[in-house]
Amino acid sequence: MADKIFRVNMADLTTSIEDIPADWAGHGGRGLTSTIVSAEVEPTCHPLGQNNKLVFAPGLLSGTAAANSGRLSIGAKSPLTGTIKESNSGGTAAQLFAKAGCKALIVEGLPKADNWYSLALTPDGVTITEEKELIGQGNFAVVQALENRIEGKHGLLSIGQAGEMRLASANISIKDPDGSLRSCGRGGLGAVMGAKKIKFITVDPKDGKVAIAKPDAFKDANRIFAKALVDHPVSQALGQYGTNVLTNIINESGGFPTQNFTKGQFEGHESISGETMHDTIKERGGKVKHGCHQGCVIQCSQIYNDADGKKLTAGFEYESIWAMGADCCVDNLDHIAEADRIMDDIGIDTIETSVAMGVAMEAGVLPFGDGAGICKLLTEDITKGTGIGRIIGNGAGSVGRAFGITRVPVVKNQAIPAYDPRAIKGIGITYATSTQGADHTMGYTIATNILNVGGKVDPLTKEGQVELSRNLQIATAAIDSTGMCLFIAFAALDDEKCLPALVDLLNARFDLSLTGDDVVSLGQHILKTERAFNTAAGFTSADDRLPEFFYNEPLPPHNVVFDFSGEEIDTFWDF
Amino acid sequence: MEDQHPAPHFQLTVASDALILFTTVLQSGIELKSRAGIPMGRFLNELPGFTADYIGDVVQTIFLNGTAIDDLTTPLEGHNPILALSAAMPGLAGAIFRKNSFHSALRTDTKKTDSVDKQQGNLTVTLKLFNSIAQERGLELLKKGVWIKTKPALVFFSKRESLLQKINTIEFEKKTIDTATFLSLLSQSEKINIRIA
Ligand code: SF4
Repeated sequence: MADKIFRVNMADLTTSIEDIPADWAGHGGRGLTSTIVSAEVEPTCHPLGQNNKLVFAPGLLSGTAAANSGRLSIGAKSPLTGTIKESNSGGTAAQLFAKAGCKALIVEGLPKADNWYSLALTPDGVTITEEKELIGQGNFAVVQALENRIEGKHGLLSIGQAGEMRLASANISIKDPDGSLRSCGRGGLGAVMGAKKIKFITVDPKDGKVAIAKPDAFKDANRIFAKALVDHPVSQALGQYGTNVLTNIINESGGFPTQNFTKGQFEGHESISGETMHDTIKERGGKVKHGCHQGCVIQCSQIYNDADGKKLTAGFEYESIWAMGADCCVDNLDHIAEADRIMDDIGIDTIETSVAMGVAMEAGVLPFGDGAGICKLLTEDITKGTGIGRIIGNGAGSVGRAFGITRVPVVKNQAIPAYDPRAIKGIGITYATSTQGADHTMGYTIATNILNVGGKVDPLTKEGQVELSRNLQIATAAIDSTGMCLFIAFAALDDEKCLPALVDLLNARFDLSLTGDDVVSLGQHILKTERAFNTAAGFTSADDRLPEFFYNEPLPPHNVVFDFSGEEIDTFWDF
Repeated sequence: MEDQHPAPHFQLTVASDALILFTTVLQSGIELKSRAGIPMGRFLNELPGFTADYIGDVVQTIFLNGTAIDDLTTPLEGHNPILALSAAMPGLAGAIFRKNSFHSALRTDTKKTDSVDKQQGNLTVTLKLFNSIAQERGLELLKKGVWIKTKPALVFFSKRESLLQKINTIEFEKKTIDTATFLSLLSQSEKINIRIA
C-alpha cells in the first residue's frame, strides 16, 4: 500500500487522504513533522489557536521488523516554548500508523462548537466522532474504557485532564503493548490536542502491512543491526537497571541537580538509585525488563509494583526519578512512583511538572522532601485545575513568574532535565542551542566518529566543544527521523557494523542507495528547518542562553559555573 | 590491602537466592586500607576478580573524588580518596564520563587545583561499586568481609526491611544475635566489618 498523508480539519469536521508531496517523501518521524510544521504553520500563530497544526508521523522504519523502530513523532508549535516542537515516544501507535499506510496525520483548525471528539484512523481514512463519556477522565480510564468499547487490537493516543485544560506541560500518551502508557512528554503538545478538542485517537491498520522493497537485504541488515544492539554493554546495563542506572553516576559526578538546582549531589540518592530500584522491582514481583513497543531488543523499561505487589507504574525513567527525587529532595521511591503514575494519568510531563514543583518548593508552596504532598498537589490541584494547580501545570517558568523566583532552570521556558550544565558543560551547550528548549535528548551521542561528524576542531577548545555538540544534534535529528529509539546510539557509536546496517535497513526498505553522508545531510536539514521556523517566530540568539544563575552560582561540591559566553554559543549555528 | 580497623565484626549467612541483593550495599562504598600514592589500576588489581582485562573492558566509568578518570596510573592520595566504579553508561552524560571517551572533551574540569596532601604510608580508600560491577564482583568481596560505614548501612536496611528476613544467621563475637540486636549494634559504631555469605 502506498503511504499517504491523512488530514483532519476540526473547523469543519472534514477529513481527506492526500498523496505525499515530493519534498516530503524522503522524510519520516521528526524530519517529517518539522518539515510539515515549517511548511504549513504560521510561525507567529498562537500555539492553541486555529492556525497551529498537530502532526503525527511514524519513523521511516516504523512498522517494519527493524529492531527498536517503533517511535512515533508528534510535532506542532509548542505552547510551552513558542518554538517548533517534536516529541517522540514508543508504544504501539507508530507501527500501526505505518501499517495503516499513514505517513503523517495532520490535524488542523479548531472546532466551532463546544464539543469534544475522538478520531479513528484506519487505512480507509479518519472518522471523527463526538465524545462525551470520557471527557474529564484520566488516561488510564480512557485505556480501560476503549478496551471494552473497541474490538480487536488498536493503537491509542490520548490526553488526560491536563490536555483538556490546555496546560502548557500537558503531554500526549500512547498505549504500549501491555496497556501501560508512554508519553510524548515535552513541550505541551497535549494542550494543542486539547485545544483541538480531541480526547483520543485510535489507530487500526486492519490487515495493512509495510512494504519492503528488498526483503532479503532488509532481513540481513536487521540481523546485524539487532545483534550489535543486543551485544553492546550499554544495552545490557539499560536492560538490567533501566535509564535510572544513571542516578549513582551523575550524583557521583556532582552534576545531579538537587533542591531546585542549588547542589550537585543528593544525600538520598542511594534510596532512589537504579540499583535500589532493580532490587525493589525483583523483590515485589515486577518486571525489570520491558519493551515500550514490540521489536525492542534492549528493553530499558520496567514495571514497578507497590509494596503489595500491585503494578504502580511502568517506564520509570531516570529523568523523572531525578526530577521528583533529587530536585524536590524526595528519597522515597514509592512516593516517586506514585507521582509518576498520577502524572501519567493526568497526562502531564514528568520532567516539567517536577521541576516546577522544585521551584514551587523554593517559593514555600510545600516543603522540600514532601513526597506525599506532591502526590496530593497532583491529585487535588492539578487534576482539578485549581489556581495553584494551573500555575504548576503550566511549567517551571510559570511558577517562577507567579512567585517571583529567580532560580528557574529553563531554556526557552522548558525545564532543564537531570544533568547540571555547570558540572557537565557539554550538555549545557545542547540545552542552550536546542531548537526546542532545554532537552537532553536533542544532542545524544550518536556515531560521531563513524559518521565522520566528530569534528575538525580540537575538542578541548571551546570552539571544538561547540562543534562536537552541533554534530551530536545533527546526528540525533537524523536518528529521530528513522523511528529508532535513541538507545541504539551506543552500539551505533562503538560497533562498526551497526550504523552501516541501519543505513542498509533504510536502503532495503525504500530501494535507495543512501550513505552515511546522506544521514548527516538529513540531520543538518532538519536543524536548519527548525531554526528557520523559530527565527520567523521571533526567536534570536539571545534566546540561546542558559539562565543567569548558572553563570554566577557555583554548584557544590565542585563549585563550578557554566562558562560559555554568548558569542561562543552562537558559533553553534555556523554551518 | 590491610585490615587495620578496630571495629565490630559481623558474619551474616543469607539465603543463596537473596545474596545478590546484598551487593547493592556496595553502592555506598567500602573502606580499604592501601598505600599512599598507589596507582589506581594497581589498587584495583589487588581486589578479588579485578583482573587487568576486567578493569580494561568492563569497568568503563571511574570517578576519583567526583572527577571522571581515564588514566589508571593516577595515584591515590590525599585524605580518604573516594573511588567509584561503573560499567558503560547510557546517555550523552554516560558517554562524556566514559573512560577515554571521544566525548570526554565535553566534561567540566573539576580537578581540584589545590595540591593534595601527599602523605606517606597508608591511606583509607572508599570504594563504591555501582550496577553490574557490584553484582559481578561484590559477592566475593562480601564473602571475604568488607568495612562499611554504619550510617548508610542503617538506611539500606531501614528502606529494605525485607532483606532482613532473608538473613538466616548473624554472628557477632562468636555469638548468634537477632536482627534487632544487629541493628542496635550498628547504630552504636561508626563503621563495622561485615561478611556476608
Ligand atoms: S530501549 Fe527503551 S525506549 Fe528504546 S525502544 Fe526499548 S523500551 Fe523503548
